[in-house]
Amino acid sequence: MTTKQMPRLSTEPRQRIGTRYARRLREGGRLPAVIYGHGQDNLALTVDAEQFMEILHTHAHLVEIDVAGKAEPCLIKDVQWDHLGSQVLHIDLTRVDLTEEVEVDVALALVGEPKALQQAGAVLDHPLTALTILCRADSIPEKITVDIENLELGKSITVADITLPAGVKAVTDQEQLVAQISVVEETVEEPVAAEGAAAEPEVIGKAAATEEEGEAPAEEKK
Amino acid sequence: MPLMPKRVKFRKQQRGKVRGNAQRGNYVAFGEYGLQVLETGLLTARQIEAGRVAARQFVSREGKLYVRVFPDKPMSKKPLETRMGKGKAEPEYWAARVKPGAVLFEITGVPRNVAQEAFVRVAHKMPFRCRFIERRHA
Repeated sequence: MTTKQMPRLSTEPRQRIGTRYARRLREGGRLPAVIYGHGQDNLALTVDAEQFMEILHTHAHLVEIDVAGKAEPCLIKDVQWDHLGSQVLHIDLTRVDLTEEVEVDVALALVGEPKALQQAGAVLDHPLTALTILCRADSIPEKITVDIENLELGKSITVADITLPAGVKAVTDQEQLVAQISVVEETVEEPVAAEGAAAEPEVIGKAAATEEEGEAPAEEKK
Repeated sequence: MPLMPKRVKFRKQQRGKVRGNAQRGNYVAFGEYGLQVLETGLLTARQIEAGRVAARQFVSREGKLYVRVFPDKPMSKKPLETRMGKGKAEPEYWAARVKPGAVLFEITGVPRNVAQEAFVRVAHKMPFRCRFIERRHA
C-alpha cells in the first residue's frame, strides 16, 4: 500500500483515562486509542468509531493519523474487541517510518478449486488463515494468495511453499501447515450408554488413598 | 458415552454460579463459521451431543465440525421421593459452564448457507439464544 492510498484518521487528544471515561467515549461514538513507539511519549487519543470501522473493513494496516494538525503514519498494532466480537473497545497504534521493516499479520487467500475436493468426504483443512510477515511498511500486501488448484489428496502446502511478493519474508514457521485435503471417515455412532454409576470418571488419588488407609489403622494403634 | 472427564480430583462439586462474559474461547479459532452463545448457563453433555448430532446429520460427511465446549462439572440430583438431607446426592450428569460470547461449535469445509442452516438446527437444541458468526480475518 502506498502513502497515497493510506486512509486518514482524524483524532482528538484524550484528557481523561480510565474505564468510566472510555465507556462514555464509546457511547458517544468515539473509540479510545493509544499511539506509541519510536522512543517518543505515548499519546492517549480518541478516534471516530464509524470512520475507524470503515478503515478496518478494508483490511488496511497503515493509517495516517492526524495529531494536532500533523499527519503521522501509524500501524494498527492491535484492536481489542468486546466479548461478542461485535464492537471495538480500544485501538493500539504504533508510530512507523515508511521505509522501516515491520512485522504484520496478513490474511491468506486460497485460490483455485482442487479436483481432490470433489471426492466424497474430502475436506480442505487450512489451519493457518493469516501469515506473519516482515516487510517494508509502505509495501504491506493486502493479502497473500496461495494457489491450491493442484493440491492432491494426502499432500499438503506449507509456509515454505508459498510464493511471497518481492521484499516480503515470512516470520511464521516454514513447516507450518497452510492447506491440506483429507477425507473425513464415516464414524460409527456408538449407542449412548445409560447414565448411571457405571459412567463415572476415575477419581485421582483414590486408589492410592485406599491402599494407605489399609496401613494407617495399624499405625494408629501403636 | 456422553462427554465427561476421564479423571477427576473430586467426584462432586458445589453448585456455584456462572457470572460474567466469555473472555476466552469467544471467537472462531478453528473453523470458518461458528455458533456463539448470547446467554449464561449450563450446557449438559446430552445437549452438546444433541447439537453435534444435529449438525453432523445435516452436513452428512461434508465439512469438519469442532466442539469447543466440554462438560467438566458434575451435577448432583436427589432421587425422586427422597427426603431432604442425608448429604449431597450422587452425580447425575455433566455440564459445561457457558458464558455470553462463548463459541460452542465451529465448522469448516462447507458453504456459508449450509453452515448457517446446520447451526440453525443446532441452535434449536441449545437452551440459550445463539447466533451465527464468521471468522474474523486479519
